[in-house]
Formats: sequence, structure tokens, C-alpha cells
Amino acid sequence: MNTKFMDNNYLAKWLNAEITDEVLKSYVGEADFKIYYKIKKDLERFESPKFDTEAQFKRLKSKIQLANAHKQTARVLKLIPTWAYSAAASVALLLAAYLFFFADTTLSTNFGEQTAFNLLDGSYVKLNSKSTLSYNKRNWTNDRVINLNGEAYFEVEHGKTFTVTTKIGNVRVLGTHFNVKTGANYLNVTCFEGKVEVLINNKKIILTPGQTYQFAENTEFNWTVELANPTWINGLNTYQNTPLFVILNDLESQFKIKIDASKIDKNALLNASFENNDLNMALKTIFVPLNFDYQLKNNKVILAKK
Amino acid sequence: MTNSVCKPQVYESLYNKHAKDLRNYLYYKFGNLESAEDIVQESFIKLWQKCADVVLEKAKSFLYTVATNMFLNEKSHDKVVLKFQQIPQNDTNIESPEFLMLEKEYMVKLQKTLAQLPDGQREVFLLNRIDKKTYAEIAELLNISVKAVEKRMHNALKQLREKIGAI
Repeated sequence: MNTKFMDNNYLAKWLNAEITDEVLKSYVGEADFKIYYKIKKDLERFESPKFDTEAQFKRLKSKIQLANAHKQTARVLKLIPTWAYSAAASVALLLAAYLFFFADTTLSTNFGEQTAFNLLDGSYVKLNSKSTLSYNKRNWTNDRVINLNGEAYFEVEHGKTFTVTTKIGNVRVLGTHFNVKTGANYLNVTCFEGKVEVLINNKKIILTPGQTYQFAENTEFNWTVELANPTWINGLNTYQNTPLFVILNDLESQFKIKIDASKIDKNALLNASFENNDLNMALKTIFVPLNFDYQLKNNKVILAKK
Repeated sequence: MTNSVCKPQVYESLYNKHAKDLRNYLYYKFGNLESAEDIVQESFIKLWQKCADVVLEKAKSFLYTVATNMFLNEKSHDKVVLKFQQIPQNDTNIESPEFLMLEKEYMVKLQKTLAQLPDGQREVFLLNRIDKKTYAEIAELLNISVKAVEKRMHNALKQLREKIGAI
């Protein structure tokens, strides 16, 4: 190699046609030159991703118009006389007072969403996807009552009775950790710490840590689990003796899909689990072991027995 | 004010001139195509909002600076995987299945090696090789010297050659 007379950055100069093939050959030798030459040639086959300038500009224009529209409404507001503001403020204040004293506070999650928050007494609640929870702030210190539809995990601070009401039955505690899952004709309560009372059909069932009570399609089940808290709060939904319709409903809530299971017995009790961050994986882990055929198309899943 | 950026025609011509290049630049640098396109939009919205303050000559560097900052804040960083044409362009007539397979394997290797180049080298190298920007243009764009551009070009090609090995 003729290093003595080599240009600095000779490869850059060669790419830029500042030095000839012959010169590069004299620097690096015939064999290496061939490889450099091939790479240079093959690089021409690569291309940047397509860019539709016209369509993108249209998108941009509509965004700008939207931003302008917001500006204009802001300007219009300024034309309103100042007294109107005080009037509006009074109305808002009255409304706020009304909401605070009389209306329920509602929290809900959308498809695939989970949310966690603290209640007025410091109790912790984690809400699973497609669930709704409401309570009344005014009465809170006297009467801790929560309405729940869907699934939530509670870590309740000690205090007055804490009740979770559902369509199927009520769950009453003093201060414990527990999970409630409910839907139409389904209730599942697991106690993780302390003592939990389930009130259903004029009956009282007492759960101690590790015990699960389930009411599904008018049938009761009891079993024990060995967990410190429900697995769904860490992204894994697990099921024991659970009717298929409950699992399907969870899949729908988690991934915003529709499942057609008309060809299948939806009351069959199953053990299953799925991770809630990957739809394809979830479908596979649930339906393959059950020997079901499934087809996913446009957020719709069709289930059939093999 | 004949050439104010606030004039719709001027603004649109700026878009037509720079949007694609800006998108490619962001893509080569950070690897995330979707974010790159969103940020192009955001940068142009910023330009429109500030059109009275930005003179036409500064519009390009305004766009690039705003876009780069936005991207740095987002911190998302993926691999740059460029597509390539399946048919080899070279003049050999050997097209046996084995040859085509080896050829494909080699192209995928080249593609991966491009993705693995250090960020600084990759953006310069792709801006020159794919977008056909001259060294001087790249130097101006990145605010570095032409010498620095040459060095990155040189090292990038050297690395490609080393990683590709014998063909």
C-alpha cells in the first residue's frame, strides 16, 4: 500500500469523484477496490421511504386551520362585556358546589387503559381497562361507598366500613387489600389481606387472605390463590375456573376488539392467562391450548372449535 | 415584504422544497419514520406561527433546528432500515437461484451495517449517498466543517467494508 502519498479521507474523495478509481486501486489494492466498488454500486439500490408531499401538505394545512380556528374563538370571547364574566363565574361556582355536594365523582378507563389513584381517605385503587367507578365525595367520611362496574384492586385504609357495590352483590371491608371483578351476571372477589365480606342474595361469605369467591351464571365457586396482589396490575391477566365469556370480555376491553364466539359454549370454565400488551400473543396463548381456531381481521376475532 | 414566509405561496414553496429532505434527515438521524413525519408537520406549524419573525433566508435553518430539538426531546430512537430494490443493478448476467440468494443475503447485511453505523456517520453518509447532498451542503446543514463531513464519509465506507468482509 502506498500510504505515503495517500490523501486524507481518500474514500470520501473517491465517493465524491475527486480521485479516480485508479488512484484508489493504488491505495488499497485490486481486491479491496473491487469490494469498495461493489458497495458503492449497491448503495444506489437503497432508497428513502416514500414521501407524498401533496398529501402531507394537505394534512399540514388542515392542522393550521384548526389552530387558527381556536385562536379566533379566543378573540371573540374578548368582545363579551366584563360583567358577563362575573355572572359566568357565579354560575360556575354554583355548579361546582352542586357537583361537590350532590353529584357523584366518576372515574372510568377506556379500552386497554389502566389507571391508579387515591381516594379521599388515602385508600388506593387501581382500575383495569373498560371499568367505571363512582362515589360521593360529600358523604365520604361517614359512608365509604363505591359503585363498580368492571375490575378494580383496592388497598383500603382503616376507618369506617368501606363498601363496593356491584350489580350482583356487595363487598364490605374495614381495611384490607382485595380485588373485585364484576360484569353482567358475574362477580369475582379475591382477598389479599385482612378480611372481606361478600354480601350476595341475602347471604354473607367471609374471605380470608388467598381466598377467592366467584359467582357466575348463578353458580358459586370458592378457591384459594397464593399471590400478594392480583397479577393484572402488573400486566398479566390470569384466570382460574373462569367462564369463557369473562375472558373474552376482558380481551375485548383490553385490545378494543370484537369477538364472535357464537359457535362456542361461552360458559365453559377455564384456566388461562394472557399478557395485556400484545394482542396476537394473547390470542395465541389463550386459544391454541384450548384447541380453538381463531381468525383476526379488522379488529374482529371469529372463534370456532377445531 | 414580497417574500414574507407568511405569504401562502411562499410558505407552500418552502414546504415543497424542504419537507421531504427534512423528513429524510430526521429519519437518517433518529430512525423513527412516523415520528420524523409528525415532527416535520410540527416544525412547519411552528414556522407558520412565527412566519412574521423568520426571514425567508433563515426559514430552512429554523426548520432544521426546531425539528432536531423536538426530536431530541422525544428521545425515541430506532434503527434505520432502508428498503432496497430487489433486482441487482450490476451488469452480470448470472442469475442462478444460489446467486440471487447470496445477493439478497449480502444486501440485507449491507442494510444492517448501515443501521449500525454511528449516528453521526450514518446521517452524513445517507444524506450524501441517498439524498445526493454535496459535502458542502451537509456541512452547512449540520453546522460542521467540510473536513468533518469527509472524515465521516471515509470512516462510514471503511466500516461498511470491514463489516461486509469478503464477498
